[in-house]
Amino acid sequence: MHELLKDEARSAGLGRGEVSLRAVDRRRIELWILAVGVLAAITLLTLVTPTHVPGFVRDAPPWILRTMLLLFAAAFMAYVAEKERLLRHIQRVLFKERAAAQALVERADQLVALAEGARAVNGVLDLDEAMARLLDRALSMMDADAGAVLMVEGPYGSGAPELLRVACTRGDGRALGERIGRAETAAYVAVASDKVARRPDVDGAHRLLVVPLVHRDEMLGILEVEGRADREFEDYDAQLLSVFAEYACVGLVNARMYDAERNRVTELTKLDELKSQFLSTVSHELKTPLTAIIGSASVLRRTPVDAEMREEFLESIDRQARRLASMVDQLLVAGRLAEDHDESNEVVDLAETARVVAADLGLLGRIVTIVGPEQCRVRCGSDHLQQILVNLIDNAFKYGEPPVVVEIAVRDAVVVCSVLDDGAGVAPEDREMIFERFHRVDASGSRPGMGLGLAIVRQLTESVGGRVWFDPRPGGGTAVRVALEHVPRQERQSAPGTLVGGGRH
Amino acid sequence: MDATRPKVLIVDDEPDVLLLMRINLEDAGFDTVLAADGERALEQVREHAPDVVVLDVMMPVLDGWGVLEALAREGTRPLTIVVSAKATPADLQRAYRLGAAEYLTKPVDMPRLLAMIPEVLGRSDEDM
Repeated sequence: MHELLKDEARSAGLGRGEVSLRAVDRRRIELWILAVGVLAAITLLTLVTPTHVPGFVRDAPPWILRTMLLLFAAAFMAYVAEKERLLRHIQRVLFKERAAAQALVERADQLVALAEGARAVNGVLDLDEAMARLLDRALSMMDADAGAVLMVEGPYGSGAPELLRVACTRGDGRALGERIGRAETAAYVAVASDKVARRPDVDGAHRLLVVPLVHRDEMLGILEVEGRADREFEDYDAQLLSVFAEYACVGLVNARMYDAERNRVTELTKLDELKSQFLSTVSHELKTPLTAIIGSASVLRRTPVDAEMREEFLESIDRQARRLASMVDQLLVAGRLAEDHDESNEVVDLAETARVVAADLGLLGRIVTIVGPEQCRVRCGSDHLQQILVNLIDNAFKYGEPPVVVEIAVRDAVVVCSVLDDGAGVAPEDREMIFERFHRVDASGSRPGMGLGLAIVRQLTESVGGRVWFDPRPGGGTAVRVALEHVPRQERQSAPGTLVGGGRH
Repeated sequence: MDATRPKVLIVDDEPDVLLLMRINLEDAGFDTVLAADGERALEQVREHAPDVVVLDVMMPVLDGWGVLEALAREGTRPLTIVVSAKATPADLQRAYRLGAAEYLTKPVDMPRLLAMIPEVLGRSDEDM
């Protein structure tokens, strides 16, 4: 800038290397002292005719002399005015320069704060802490005290976000965040993914900065900063916040990954625990009937018993052997479920299957009542449905109390089959867990069972697009309900309905 | 009934287990009384005053813990061998606190049970 001013400076009479506001001031004072002096001299000359002057001056008429003096004064004033104009110009430029330098220092400070802020966000592994730091740094950088971080909900990287969750707020940022989170997600995402940092459609839009939190084209969330009443954000602020957000996102992603990894480890540890628990349960469960069988056989061999007693022992051996067989079956089913066995296109009569299962159980002395229509066709494999019913009824006897009732109800497109018992019911906190594989409500293991029954039911049900859940019954007892797709007879040829996609019919 | 034969009450909700224990105990020279649930077990204790109770924990109506508590309340404390599927330290502690003499895990090791009963009976004789 000083290079540009060189010519002006020389014309204005400033010395080399002295282009400063102080030099300009000095030069102006000099100029004005000179101007005042010269004008005073001229005035004096006009009033007092000098005595020692050349003859032609003395001889000339006085008006000529005055005119000459006036002309000289005018020329001199023009000279002074020009210098003054130049000096003023230089002064203005110098003022601007000073302001610009000041602004640069401020910007540099902001950049330092940005880098430091990003570092601070990157320095933590806890996601909540990372988000809190991100927001705090953004607010201090923007000199604001209200704002929010909103995170995209749902599986990461799944395209357009449907929902933003208010993850962190400061000041009255919560109101702000919730307003956005609820109704205006789409608009915000559009704004944010455009990398437009300002929100256009709000009163005092210049007080609100909205920047996307994007990492490698994945939208993580949104950072929002609301300025104080007297604060108007400029484009530069928006850019700065965008850049900060971009840097800080790395930290956010790291924290998120760490979080996910930690959860995975916890999950795996838990599964591992469940598996070893399951293993010990299985061996125990298999051992119980085996002990009974071996014990009965040895009694028969060494103790003289009468025919009636002998029959009783043989029956006991038979019963326990069957129990063993059914356990092995369950284990096999559970193992087979891991392989993808698709029975989702078969149609079976639920009422008929229930009757068959009830008849089988009736032979074992377990009385099951069936309530509902005579016929009721559902989309499910016959083997699967049988397994579902056997497991549910088995549970009802094992963990509940008779009477056990199978209730079939058709509700338009869905058939709900409920297995009801009169037992103690299931604690609310266990109602979801009991469907987990290996999970057993009674962790002491004093009730028979391997914790596979309901997990198998759930897997079978869900494999045909159905659902299974628990309902406590008002008068005590439990209802386990299974919802399956209803296939009315006349619609046999039609495509599968709402619950199941794809079909061969 | 022979008055010198010790009387054992077997409590278990599984008929097969009851049958097997009964035969084995009778074969080993004990008199047996049976109960399929906790309430019935208490009735049998009042009625027959057994020397030893072999008590399953998980049963319908009233479980083994409930039986132990009720017996303690009534002041009748027959020698009890608690039989349970699981033997966590907490379970063991609970059983002994409620006055059990021994603790066995299921499935029951029959020779062990048969050896345990006279041992428990002998212990109570020393106490007296």
